[in-house]
Amino acid sequence: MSFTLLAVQILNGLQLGVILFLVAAGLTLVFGVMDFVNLAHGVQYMLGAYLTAVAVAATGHFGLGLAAGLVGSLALGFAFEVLLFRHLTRRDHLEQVLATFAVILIVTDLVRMIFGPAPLPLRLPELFTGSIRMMPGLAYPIWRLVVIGAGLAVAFLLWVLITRTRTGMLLRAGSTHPEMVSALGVDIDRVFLFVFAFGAMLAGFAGAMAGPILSIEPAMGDNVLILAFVVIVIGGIGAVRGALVASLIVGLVDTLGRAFATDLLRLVVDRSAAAQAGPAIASMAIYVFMAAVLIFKPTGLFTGERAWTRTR
Amino acid sequence: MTRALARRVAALLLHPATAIVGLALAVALAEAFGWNFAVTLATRAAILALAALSLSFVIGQGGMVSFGHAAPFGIGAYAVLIAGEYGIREVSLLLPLAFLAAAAFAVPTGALALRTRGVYFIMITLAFAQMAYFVFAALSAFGGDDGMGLAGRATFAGARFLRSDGNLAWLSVGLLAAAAWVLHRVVAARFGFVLRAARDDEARVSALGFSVYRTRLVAYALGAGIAGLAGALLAEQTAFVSPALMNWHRSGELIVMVVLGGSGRLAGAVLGAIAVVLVEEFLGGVTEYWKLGLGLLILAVVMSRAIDLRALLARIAR
Amino acid sequence: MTAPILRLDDLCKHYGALPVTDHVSLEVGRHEIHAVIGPNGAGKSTLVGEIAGSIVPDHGRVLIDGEDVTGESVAARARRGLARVFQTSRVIKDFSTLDNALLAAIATDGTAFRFLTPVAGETATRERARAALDRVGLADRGDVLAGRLAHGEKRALELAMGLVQAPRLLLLDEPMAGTGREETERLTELLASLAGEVAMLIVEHDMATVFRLADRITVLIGGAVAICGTPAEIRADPTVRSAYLGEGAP
Repeated sequence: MSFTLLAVQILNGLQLGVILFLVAAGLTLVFGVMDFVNLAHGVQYMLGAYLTAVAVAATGHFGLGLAAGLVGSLALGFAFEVLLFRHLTRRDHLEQVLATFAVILIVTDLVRMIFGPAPLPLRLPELFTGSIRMMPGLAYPIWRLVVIGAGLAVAFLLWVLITRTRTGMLLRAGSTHPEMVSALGVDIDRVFLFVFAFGAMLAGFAGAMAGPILSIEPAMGDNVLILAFVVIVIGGIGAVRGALVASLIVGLVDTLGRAFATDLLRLVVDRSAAAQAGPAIASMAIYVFMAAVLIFKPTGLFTGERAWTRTR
Repeated sequence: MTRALARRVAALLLHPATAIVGLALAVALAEAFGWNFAVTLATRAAILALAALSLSFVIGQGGMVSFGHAAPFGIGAYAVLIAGEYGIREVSLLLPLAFLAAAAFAVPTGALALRTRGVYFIMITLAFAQMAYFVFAALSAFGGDDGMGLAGRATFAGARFLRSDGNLAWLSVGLLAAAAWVLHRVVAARFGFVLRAARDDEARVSALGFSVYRTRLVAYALGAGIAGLAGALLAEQTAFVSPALMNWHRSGELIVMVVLGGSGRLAGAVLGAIAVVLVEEFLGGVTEYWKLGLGLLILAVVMSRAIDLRALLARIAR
Repeated sequence: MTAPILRLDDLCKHYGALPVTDHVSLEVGRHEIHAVIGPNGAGKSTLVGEIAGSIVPDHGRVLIDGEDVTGESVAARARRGLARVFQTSRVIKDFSTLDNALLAAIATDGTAFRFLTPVAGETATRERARAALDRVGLADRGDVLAGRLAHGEKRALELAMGLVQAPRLLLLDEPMAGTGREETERLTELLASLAGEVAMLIVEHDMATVFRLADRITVLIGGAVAICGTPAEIRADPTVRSAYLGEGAP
């Protein structure tokens, strides 16, 4: 386990964490503001990747394509909200689960119909291809560094938006104390529309960022969605700061676990047992972490004590 | 007069017990005429109906919207595979084993998930089910990602009774009927009574002195155990077990079955399951994009409830 | 000397910087009807929550029958004989009135973990439930869905659910809230008929009821006990008169 390998894996973990944050940030606000279960958020991520890939191929320009992808994701977010989700916000969770699950089935199959099951390529411009030598013996792909940088920049922008603007104050209040916001006379449905569409755009951006690294295929949103759920449970519903910290933790724990669990196990058990158990234990790591958070702080790390009464 | 009669006939036809008898008849007919395909289909319907029934108990009676029911289902299947690898191939041992394995998974994960409510509960059950998926996908000794075939079908009291697809079909329908009967009794007994009361008003039930948490956890584990039985049967039927059994889409499909059958009616899920299996079979024969059709169907059902159709029509008419 | 059925020992609770329970100590004797009154925001509901176990105090102890239950759950306290009537009626809306009473009767029997005997067949328990409905005047409403009952009937049902448990302490959070004059009188008479049989801690705004029922009254202001005494003493206290009861007090 050399130092460079560790450094590479830490960077990989950060990159995964940043992608997760982009997906989880919008989702956690949607949960918080409207108590709405949106399983179709992974679909927005997938569509963002597809839209960007198609637009880049059509325009032949990465920047233009990315911009088109973002606008398209935003538009899709608006469309989904107006056509479907606003009719479901006051229904019970079971129906929200069903409807958004149906959206996954429909959109995934439509995409498969149009683009086929084979992965779609997303060409990076010259500038971002290749690696950069960060220190002797450590070359790291430029694009992954760009992803980390872009993700952290978005996190910073969100922080400014949420802590420094009136809209942000409303959001913060709304995601933790929804009843308070409606008491202030704010039209919570409008807030929801914009939060939803904005969240869809962030997820689309994440898809576009991940596109050149992972393969762009119809089911690419599934895993990200569930990891984003783990992030939200750890960070606390409605907490953007919690989502950032939890995303980075989940990204690092998952990546480092998969990279090193087998090697670490070999220190205590023999080679073949370690090879057997290592991957299984590594894939459990983030869920065990989630379980630990649930034991000590069932409402997540970053939410204040909600007005929950004890029920046991 | 005739309308009242028609309504009674419809109620009888849509009664869950009728559905189970219907499955049994289908098996009998298919066996008599040698329609192997129909035997397989009826077995599959009975198995998924069993899984959906157990989820209906958890969601409809317990008020716990679990999005991770594929996990105990898959664990039941893996119990059969793993026990088989160690030489246990007797179905009267395998079924209790599958039940216990699935319940054993549900107790710790349920104990954590039940500390939360609402959206959290949904996400956490989904996350733990995904954990089970990845753990089994990482177990290379049992096929890893690709899954693994069973060495052969199980014996029954030492005899090779389950070699015949027909006998497996009878076992599946029989277990479905037995589970429906037992759960029906449980729902009518104190346990179900308290469980439903807690679904409606948790604070009231705690204030009366019941431990809502423990009651729910037992119900959650019982539902999981029965799903484990269903998984074990599916493993026997296909003689193959893979992590794909625990794919979270299956959890979603099980919820669809419960809701289509009416989540308030315990055994409605049996009807929902048969409907979904038939839709899948029919659409799957027509197009490879059958999930699109299923999705549209679900969306139509949910949205027609969400949007008040009558109010909408009245507005258009005006 | 037997311990009081309920004792609160220096309870404190803050929400942020705001004290909602401020060093509250009080006792309810075995056969006592003890009323807690106070203006809105005096911390009465919080106090009820702390006694019932749904709110955890920052400091201090709650003792039921001499035993410290501060760390116990709502359900555990209920099993010690604490029955609660909520401020906003909480009955199981989808259950019939009789089934609500039956649920409470089952709770007294101890266990929910009976899986195969149908509830419908538990005749003895059912009879106790019926008797409790009878006592509060709901005998002929047993088959009605509890959600369809009139407001006053729901309160009566909640009371029946408490009584069927043969509680040692009834915790009543504004039982007369939202009920009409006539119903208030009926419920008051009903509670009066239970005097001596079961101890009560009653939080109430309706002064006629309070002075009719209570053996002792605690006045809560700003989360703290302002004064505690017999109805006569409370009526005579000049500060309470001016601060809370106003001029038209009985």
